[in-house]
Amino acid sequence: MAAEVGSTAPEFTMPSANDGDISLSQYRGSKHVVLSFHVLNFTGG
Amino acid sequence: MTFRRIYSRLEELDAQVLGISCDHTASHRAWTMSLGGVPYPELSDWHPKGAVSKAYDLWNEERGASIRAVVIIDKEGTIRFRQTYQPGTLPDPQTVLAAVAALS
Repeated sequence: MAAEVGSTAPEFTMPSANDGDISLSQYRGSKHVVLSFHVLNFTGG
Repeated sequence: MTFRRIYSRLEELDAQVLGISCDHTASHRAWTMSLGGVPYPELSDWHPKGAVSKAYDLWNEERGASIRAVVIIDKEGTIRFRQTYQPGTLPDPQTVLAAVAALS
């Protein structure tokens, strides 16, 4: 599996609602990143 | 909102929260406005739909949606924590905070 604990996180670039495009690599060396995957908006999940 | 309450603590620990779902950014805007705004970026895994969720093995093909999960990546780009959650359950903020604190 590509995204197990201990493996390199897959790189991504995605549009954000208010901050333009964001790439995982822009935090490399400066920030830990907490990804919070949601099911759908308006569900509380 | 799991992360709103612990956001300032996460900032102190040099952690950036990124919310991800396969909704369009316009939907995200409406959603975050309905909450009075969230203090971190909400990203759209939209084009192609679910591509990033799939890369992280967090895609429910049947529902056509991401699986609820938290993935913590350290400054070197290595995955250090990964947990999925059943529908209707939410991540425990203290567990997330402890996992981030353990990185430093």
